[in-house]
This record gives sequence, C-alpha cells and structure tokens, in this order.
Amino acid sequence: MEAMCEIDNFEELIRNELDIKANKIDPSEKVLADVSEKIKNGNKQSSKLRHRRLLMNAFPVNLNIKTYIAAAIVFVLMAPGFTMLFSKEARVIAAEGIERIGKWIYVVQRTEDGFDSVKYEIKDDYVSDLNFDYTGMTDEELSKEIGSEVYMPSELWGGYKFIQRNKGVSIKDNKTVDITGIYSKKNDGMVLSIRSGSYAQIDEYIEYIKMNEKYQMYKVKDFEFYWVEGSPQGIYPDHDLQKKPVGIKTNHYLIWKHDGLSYELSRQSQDFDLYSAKEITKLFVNKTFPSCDKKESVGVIRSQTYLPQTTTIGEIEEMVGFKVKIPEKISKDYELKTRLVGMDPFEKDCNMFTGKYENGKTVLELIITEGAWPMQEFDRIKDPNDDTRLIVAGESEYKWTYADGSHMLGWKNDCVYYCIHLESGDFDSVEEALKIANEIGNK
Amino acid sequence: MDEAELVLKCQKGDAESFNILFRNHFNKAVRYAYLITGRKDLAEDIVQEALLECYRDIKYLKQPSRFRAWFYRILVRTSWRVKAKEKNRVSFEDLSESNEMLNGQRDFDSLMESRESNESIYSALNKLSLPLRTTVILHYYNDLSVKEIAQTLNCFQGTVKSRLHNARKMLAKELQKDGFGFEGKGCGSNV
Repeated sequence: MEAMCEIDNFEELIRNELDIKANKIDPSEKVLADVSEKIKNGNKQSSKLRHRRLLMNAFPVNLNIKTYIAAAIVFVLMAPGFTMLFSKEARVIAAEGIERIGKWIYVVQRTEDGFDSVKYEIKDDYVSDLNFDYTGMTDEELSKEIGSEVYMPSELWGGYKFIQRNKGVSIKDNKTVDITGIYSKKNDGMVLSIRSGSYAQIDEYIEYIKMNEKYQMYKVKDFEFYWVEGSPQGIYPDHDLQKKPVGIKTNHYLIWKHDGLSYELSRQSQDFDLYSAKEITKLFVNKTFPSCDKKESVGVIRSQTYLPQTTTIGEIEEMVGFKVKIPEKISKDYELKTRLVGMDPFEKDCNMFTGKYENGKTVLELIITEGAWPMQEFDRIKDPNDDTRLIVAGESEYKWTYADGSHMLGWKNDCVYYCIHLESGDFDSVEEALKIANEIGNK
Repeated sequence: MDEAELVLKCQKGDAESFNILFRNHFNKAVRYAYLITGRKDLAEDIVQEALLECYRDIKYLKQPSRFRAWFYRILVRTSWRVKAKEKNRVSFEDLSESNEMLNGQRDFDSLMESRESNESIYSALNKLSLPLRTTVILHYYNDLSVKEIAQTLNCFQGTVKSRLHNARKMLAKELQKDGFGFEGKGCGSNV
C-alpha cells in the first residue's frame, strides 16, 4: 500500500507528532508580561476596592458604606434629611447609638477551613468624601446634571416598589456622583446605586471582580451584566457588627455599565439569585417600567429618618403632623427599640411613623400613617389559611388581613391608620393581636 | 525548590514565586491550548485567562502537591469554553492559511511532508471528541499521568484509560484511511 509504514510503537508516534505540531508555535513572552501587568494593576486597584468591598460585605447594605456611616453619624447629630436603610444591623445602630459602631467592626475573611473574623478599622476618608441626601429630582433632571442617561425604574421585577432616592454629592467639587434608589416589598428591599465620574470606575471594578470574585457575565443586547458572588458576610449575633460573627453568608449582586455610568443592584435580606438578576436585567434593557419620577408634596418628611430613643411623643407628632399613640412597652416584654419617621411609601403625600418593638425573640412593627390602611391587598390565589375579615370589638373595628403566611391587624384612631404585624413569623392568634392593639389604643 | 513549596509561597502572595511558577508551565500550557484550538492567538488568550484565574484562586488550593492537575483543570475548562465560543468564527490565521493554499504558495514537498506524518495525526486528532482529544493531548503532549488526568478532568482513572484506549483505536483507524499501517502494541486494538 502507498505510504504504508510499520510502526512498532504507536504511542511514540502520537507523542512525537504532537511535539512537532506544538513546537510550530513560539509562545509569546508578551502574554506573561501582560499577565504580570494585569496582576500589578489589579493589586493596585485591589487594595482600594478590597477595602471598599470588605466594608460593603460587612454591612448588609451592600452599596453605601458612606451612606451608612454618614447616616449613623447624622443620627447622633439629629440633623434632618438623611436616609438609613432598613437592615437589621442598621436598626441596632439606630437603637444603640453611634458610639456602638465606634471606629471598628468585625469583618469575615474566608480561609481554607471556613472563615476568620477580624477587627476592621473604619477609616475616616470613607465617611467624609460624599454628602448624601434625599433628592426629588427626576431621571431627566439628574441625567442633565450628570451628563449621562440615568434610568431608575419605578418598579423592579419581583414586586419591589420604588420608595425614594438619595443623591451623593462630592464634597470636593460639589458634583453629583452617586444616586441610590431604595425599593421595598414586605420585609425585603433592594438597593440600586448609579455612579458617575470617578465614582463609577466600572472598568477597574470589573477587572477587580475578574481577579478576586466569582462571577458570571451575560449579555443582553449591548449590555454586559456581571452577576457577582460577593465575599462572605458575617452573621452577627443580635446583628451587632461589633460582636464576633457566628457564621457566614454569601450574597450576590449585579453590576453593569450604561452610558458611562455604573449600576449596581443588591438585595438586602436574602441572596440575589441569577434568575431574578436576569429578569431584572430585561426590564433595564427594555425599560419596561417608567422612571420613578414623582414629586412629593411639601411638608412630607422625604427621607426615612431614625430617631434617637430620647425622642418624645410630642416631638414625633410635630414631625409627622398628626397625633400618635406609641407606648414604650407592650405585653410579651416588647420594648420600643426603633423609631422611624418618613414618607408613607404608598401614599407619598403623607407622613408615616414606624416603631419596632423587640423582646429578644420577635420584632413587632407598628405603623401609623395618615395615608390609608398600611396593609397591602394582594391579588392572591385564595389560600385556605386566608381568614381576612373585619372584626368588631366593642366600639372599634379592626381589619384582620392575611398575606404571605402571616397576619396584620389594622385599625383607625382619630383619623389615623394603625397597623401591627410581626417582622417574621405570625401572631399566635387574632386575640393576641387584638390585645396588643387594645394596649396601643388605650395608651 | 519543588513545586509544592513554590505554590505555598504563591499562596502567601509572593510575586516572584508566581513568576517562576507561571514561567515553568507557560510554554507547555500555550502549546496544549494550541493543540486543542489550532490557533496561536486563541491559545495565548486561553493561557492568559487561565493564569489570571490561577493567580486569583490559588489561595483555595488545599494540596499544593496537586497544583499541576489543578492548573490543568483551569486550563482545560477555559479552553473548552473558548473553543465552544469560537466554533463558528474564522481567525486571521485560518484566513492566511487558506489564502496560501489558494495562491499555491505552499510547495509540493511541504504539503507531502505534512500529509505524510504530522498533519495526518493532527487532523485525525481533530476528528476525536473534545474529551478524547483533551485526554490524548494531556497524556502524550503534557505528560500528565492517568491519575493526574483523572484529577484534572474530574473523572475516574478507569475513564481516562478507556478514553486513551478508544482514542488510540480511532486515531489508528483514521490514519489507516490515509494509508498508514500499524502493528504491534499501543495501537489500541486489532487495527
């Protein structure tokens, strides 16, 4: 046969021929040089971003350590118009005072065998370079101010409704560099942060992520989205950042770039899965929901503001503009730990008071608003546990509603709407809820 | 200094150790990727990506002695992903090669030479499935043991052995079509 040859060792033939083929190329040294360069640049960015990331991870509000600390400080100074987000850790700080946060917190770092807790210093420069405040500006106005197209939708996939947004202005040059939108649904929230100028740093940030984090990139039209697994966050006893974490949790966040701005979206109470990320992505690309633009009425406390424990009922009434009944203590050892006033997210022309009562086991939330029944009516499939009804007890009428596995009890007093519910879990019975309502009403 | 010590130093962030470690594996890694993709530009991109991933994740490597298998795992994963992505694209290298063919610039001797040995093996190799081809290249070109390949591809050693056996059988069959004949050990079976 033509070209027939006999080879004793077929394996040797494969080996030799692969060698010959492979040696046809000379790997370029430039590749190694590029790798070194990327590592060097990555490390430079890293130390800066790692610091930021560590702090972000330590705080459940993934995005705005600056807002967070600044907010805590303003809380002490009692200045108006700052925003705190509704995390449990934020609440602890709000209840306990700024001195509890001090200059350090515990952060966690992953190790081969699990994680380590280390004390981490909070540097002053992370507190002072931006001023955050509520803004009622529209997307269009903000786009004009920043010079790039801003899009903050009125709603996010999954039923998260826009509540409010804040603007971060650089102290150095008075430029708007950060817009943070807060979205809420029952006991959960999402935070969308849009950054511009030197605060965007999206390309460096993506490089950092590629070098340091686990991520998945996907494209929709011209957009590149990065769904990133953040470094581990601590699970703090009593949500206290100065108590050694007892475990770790990992949260994902989504980042992308559009018209020179960086967008970052994270969820507050639970992890942010890829499916939700992709659904949210679609609405951003297609601009499914209109912008969240809506001017609020004058006289409304525009940002959600934590109040010190020393705030009196009179002071609260002055702030919200209506009479309130807020006992310090109620049965089952509930104690009022957190006081929050701000705009009613569902009736933006009205003020609202939110009080959180804690007894070491559960958190009971009391909402008082001039707006409307602070209970959402859901388009729900009839659940066999749904015993929503009107209850008449004595001369008072109560609304007992059921949604998502738990109940709320609402009533009206002096033209103001009251509502109580447990933050997690449910009342033992309607009688228990009525008893608490009665205690509040008789205050 | 042996590789495990080097890896330990890398895990502590020693830049020079990274340099040495990367250099030790660089050429073989690029050539592996070249054998998988058939393109130098892609091969270099793959290795760059794999080295950066290696730099990022080396701190999680529990057994430094298993570095080689661990690194090749990254490399194989990256090359498979890039290969899948580039399946339907044509590179400049491909274009210039086909232009040469069209212009008749390759002389008859070189064509004969390549046909007779290297290109025949290589084109036969390209007809194998990606897992088989990867196994063959890791074993015969990168000199990974069956155990290391099993660690790299996350499969049983028996699977690696049977892949090698099947690959040899198929290669021999393909080469026979090109006029090569084989006898003796190592051809897989009764080809």
